[in-house]
Amino acid sequence: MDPRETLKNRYEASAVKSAEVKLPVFDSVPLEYINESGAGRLRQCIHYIQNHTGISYNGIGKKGKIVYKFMRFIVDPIVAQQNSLDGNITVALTEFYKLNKQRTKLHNRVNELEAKLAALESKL
Amino acid sequence: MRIIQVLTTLSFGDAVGNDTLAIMGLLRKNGYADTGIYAENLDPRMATIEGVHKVDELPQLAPDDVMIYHLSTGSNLNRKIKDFNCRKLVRYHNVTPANFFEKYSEVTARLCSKGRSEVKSLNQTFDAGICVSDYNRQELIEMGYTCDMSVCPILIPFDDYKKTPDSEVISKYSDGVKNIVFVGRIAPNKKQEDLIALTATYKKLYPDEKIRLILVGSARGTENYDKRLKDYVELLGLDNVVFSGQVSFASILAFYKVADVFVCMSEHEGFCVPLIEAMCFEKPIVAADYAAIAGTLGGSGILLEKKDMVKAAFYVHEILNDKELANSVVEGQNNRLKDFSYEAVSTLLMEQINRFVRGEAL
Repeated sequence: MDPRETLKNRYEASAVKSAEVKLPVFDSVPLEYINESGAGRLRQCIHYIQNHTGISYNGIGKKGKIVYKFMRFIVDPIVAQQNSLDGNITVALTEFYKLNKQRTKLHNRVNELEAKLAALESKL
Repeated sequence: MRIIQVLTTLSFGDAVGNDTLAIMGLLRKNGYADTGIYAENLDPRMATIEGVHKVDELPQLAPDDVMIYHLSTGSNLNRKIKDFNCRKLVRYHNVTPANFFEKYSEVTARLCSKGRSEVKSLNQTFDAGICVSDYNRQELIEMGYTCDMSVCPILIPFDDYKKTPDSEVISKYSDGVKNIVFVGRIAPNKKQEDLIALTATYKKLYPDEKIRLILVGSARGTENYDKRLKDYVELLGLDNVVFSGQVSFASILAFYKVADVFVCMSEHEGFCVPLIEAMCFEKPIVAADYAAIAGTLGGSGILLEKKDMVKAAFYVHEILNDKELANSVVEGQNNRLKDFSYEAVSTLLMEQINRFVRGEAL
């Protein structure tokens, strides 16, 4: 006999069929955004900000690209309103600032070198 | 006349990536030496394979050249496909509907929604289609595709499953406890919460039996869903659920080896390669009847028409405790597995590609 039929017949004849098992439903579990460390936490920060600020996001990419786009589109307006936002967004911003620090250092160094180059060129 | 393949992302080790590489090998074996894969995004491990290129390197195509376009996600590339002046064959793998991700990630939901809109917008772009499942083919028809379409399963690298499994994993989980295994990304469409509910139901119905649920898959990008699943495990008071996280291929092989039953509650799959893998490892399958699942099982395995957890737990219990029944399920699966052999699929695929090249119906 086809095992599907075998199982159906056994189930129909079993006492288990009338068993009632009540479990908490999955939807009753709260959905948390910020609760992990590392890349997972950063990703959750990103999702939280997007879901709560409505700022649109274009495309996907590596973590650096995500951070750069947020820096362009989100950080300035949010910093201005920082005091009115909850702790989660502040955490998210802290994460972004940490990642952006590296980029800012490099950016400042480039500006420094360009200024030095301009000064040297003016002496020629 | 060249036949080339184009796709958005060539990832390492996923179904689309494996299918694309296998098709390249097949084309070369069948006289199409001048073939290649052109991807918008390339996993570094794939970039070194001969014949794999970035899509920017796509040469000028002639009108009689054939492009096989793997459609599995939204992308900028989808919008450019219409502009290529060549014959176009779509290989549709499916795009997950956005509603599964709406609670968890606006970005992902938007990408999925965009992807599905793009699939629909391309409904007059292709000259023909070879879909990996009849479920996918029907979906394209519903989206207004009127071109000639056929079905040919994914080309699966069965030799990979003969590689050495991780002995530590085997040793750790061969402890007399029966293992219920599911392999798949931790993703809302795969409904791992239903597997957890099944485990809790089983524990209530059969409190003296020792079982373990092993969820094998990465939660990268779905960390909040992963967290919610773990919270659910805690809420249900379960101490027998294992989340493997991202693991090596050898570990995945080992998890299949230690499985006593493979259970799938996924609500969206375009094909579901793990079902084939479970068949390969001769593990009886119990799966909920959604999307392409029934088509891939093809009458084998055990199909749950509805997600009745008591019934599902009963079915799993019978399979775990009745060796003869389990063997009969596996026997049916072994027969079905023949339809997915490299020989069967590659013959079918080349027939369909050659008919397309000759201008005949697929």
